[in-house]
Amino acid sequence: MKKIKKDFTLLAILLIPVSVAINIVGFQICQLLRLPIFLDSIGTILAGAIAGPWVGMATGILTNLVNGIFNPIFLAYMPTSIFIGLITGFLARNNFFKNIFTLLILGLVLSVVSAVSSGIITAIVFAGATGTTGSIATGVLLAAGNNIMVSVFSVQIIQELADKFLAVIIVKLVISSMSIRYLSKMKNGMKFIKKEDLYE
Amino acid sequence: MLIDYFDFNNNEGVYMVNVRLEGVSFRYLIAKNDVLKNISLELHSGKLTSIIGPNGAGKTTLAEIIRGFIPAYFQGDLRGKLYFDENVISINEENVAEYSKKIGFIFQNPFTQITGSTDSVFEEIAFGLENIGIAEERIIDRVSEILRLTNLSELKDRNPMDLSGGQKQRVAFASILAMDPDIYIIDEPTSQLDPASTEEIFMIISALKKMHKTILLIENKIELVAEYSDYVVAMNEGEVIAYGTPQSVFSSERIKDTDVEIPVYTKLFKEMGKTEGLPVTKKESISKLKGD
Amino acid sequence: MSKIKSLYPSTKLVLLLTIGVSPFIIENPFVGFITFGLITIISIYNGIGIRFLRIIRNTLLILAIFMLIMRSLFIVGDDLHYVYQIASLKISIEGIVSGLYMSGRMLSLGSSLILFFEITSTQDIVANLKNTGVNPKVTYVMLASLQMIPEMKKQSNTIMEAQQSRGIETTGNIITRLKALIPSVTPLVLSSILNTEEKALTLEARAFTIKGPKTSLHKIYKKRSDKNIFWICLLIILILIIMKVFIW
Repeated sequence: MKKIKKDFTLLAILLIPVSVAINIVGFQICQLLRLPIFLDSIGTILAGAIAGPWVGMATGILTNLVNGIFNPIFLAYMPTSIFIGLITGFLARNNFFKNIFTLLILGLVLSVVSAVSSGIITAIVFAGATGTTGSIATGVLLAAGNNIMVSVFSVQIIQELADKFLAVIIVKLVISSMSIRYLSKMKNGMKFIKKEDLYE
Repeated sequence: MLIDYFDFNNNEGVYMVNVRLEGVSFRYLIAKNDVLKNISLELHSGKLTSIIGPNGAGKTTLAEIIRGFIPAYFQGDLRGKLYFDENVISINEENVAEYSKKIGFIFQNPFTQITGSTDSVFEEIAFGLENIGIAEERIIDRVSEILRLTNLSELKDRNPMDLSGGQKQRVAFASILAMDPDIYIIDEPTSQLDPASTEEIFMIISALKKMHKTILLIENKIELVAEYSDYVVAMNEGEVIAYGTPQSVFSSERIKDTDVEIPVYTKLFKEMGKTEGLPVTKKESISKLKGD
Repeated sequence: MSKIKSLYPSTKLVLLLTIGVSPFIIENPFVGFITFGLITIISIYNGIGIRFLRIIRNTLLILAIFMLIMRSLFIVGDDLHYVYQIASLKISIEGIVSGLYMSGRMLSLGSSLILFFEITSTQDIVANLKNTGVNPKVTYVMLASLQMIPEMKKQSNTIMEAQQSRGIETTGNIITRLKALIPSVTPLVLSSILNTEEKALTLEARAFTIKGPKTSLHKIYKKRSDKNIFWICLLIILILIIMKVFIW
């Protein structure tokens, strides 16, 4: 418990509202550009990447709570956000942001986890319905004889792959533009600093 | 302008603090060179000491050391001593928050000084007092007083995020005033303000002098520095190159070939060929011209 | 009914949740819709009926319809009794019943939460949390998140406009739009994060991390009626559970 508390320095705590706002505004920007992705977890991934899994998880939880105030359906998907924050944090700690190859693996892991987690929630809590066109696609698959878990998952995975790959790439790009001074104060920050840049 | 003196920290009357730096040097953890080299200076209660100098001279770093943000928030190699009234002061992560009762810090950027957790200017100003645990009735009295002092009463119910840069800066100033510290460190408060608001800020600073506060001001508006300051510290490349009254500093030979600005009145007289008795304010130059 | 608005936040929540959660205990497919109706009536009594229904329409309604349809068509099990057929899709009565259960419960719980947030101010919720002893850093993060969203939206609009005037296309094929994404998002993210460094110092300057008891301008207090309502709700839930176990 004490170890987790240590992650929550004032600077890390201040990252959370920014990351939550990024999640929500990122989603809106994608809507505005009419892109078929959500980017609603880009802030969670960013927070997890530089401040560690617990701060990432807190970002995910808070995002769902804030969204949940206006639409309680988001509250049901909290486990997905929690997984994304935790996994990004732990894998970032293990240098998964270092090169493009591991970065793509991270994207893949996040997509699968997100699709499975959200899929299970959609299937069990909402009978496979999401109130969007995704449900129609799910319905088609169900009618064709697939079981509900598989149907929901198949629909979600394609969207998730595009979404999470793009998200981790954007996060990597953003972090590479951050000042060394800031990164050195964040828990996972040192993972993103190259040794050569360290002494100016 | 008559200002009622409202004292939280010490009800026994006027409290005065002298701040002294002795041989302070600092190098950031990730840097190779010292950003401050062997700084020694003194800040007196009831006096305004202004630090001037080009960007990168180390002015803000110096301010952050006095407040204790360095080393509490910025890692590096800090050498030298800091004294408040002959007591050696050592500020670190553990006690940096405690010192907010004693040292007020006003930053340059108005946008980051709005906490983001309050709905109204009134609450924003009350934020610091709530954190210290001042009783609610006293908070209400105090904030109302400060609103009046800083001419913000009309804005008291507005959301601080919706205000202009200049208004935000005044709210930030008010928020620190409310906490009634003994020492004020003010970092370029007028860079985003129009001339009228700038004048108001300097009026407030004059009032703080009368309240025997110890004030350190970092400012680029050199004519105002000359007019209001009791002492001026000229810095360049991490060193103090001149230190004394405005007259002595602006006439000093040592700042001649550096990027340190001098008041336009002083410049004018210098270009006219004068070398002694240089004026630093408009008033002085007018009386010099009349006298001549 | 209209006095509900002035109750203590946690009391309001318990009351509304009791209504919202009861269909999960009672074994009847229509109860969810009844409690949903009850919650709607409460919203009308509190003067926000139209806004409440508009929110329901935008959030829960389509989902409820879809859930009913999905369940009716696709429930799995042996011994299903089919009542209708459209092309190759078969509707079973078990599916309809299950769909009614699920969508009714979802509407009931969802609407109770929506109503709670509509009749409870953020300030009150935070004051409640503070009274319960929640760490002020947590309440700060919640408030700051809520404030930062409209701020960031404004900034992103400014950046998008600036990008557009610089010739970055925001319409057109998908690749073009994707290319518009990164220059729209990155500067916003970077500047927001950069500002947190100074914000941390600002908070320190306002004694945010100081140890010791804090006071608060916005205070709320529990009344006796709050305690009574709490116990009544708990009792109701208990009775329903007992009835479920022994009678139904």
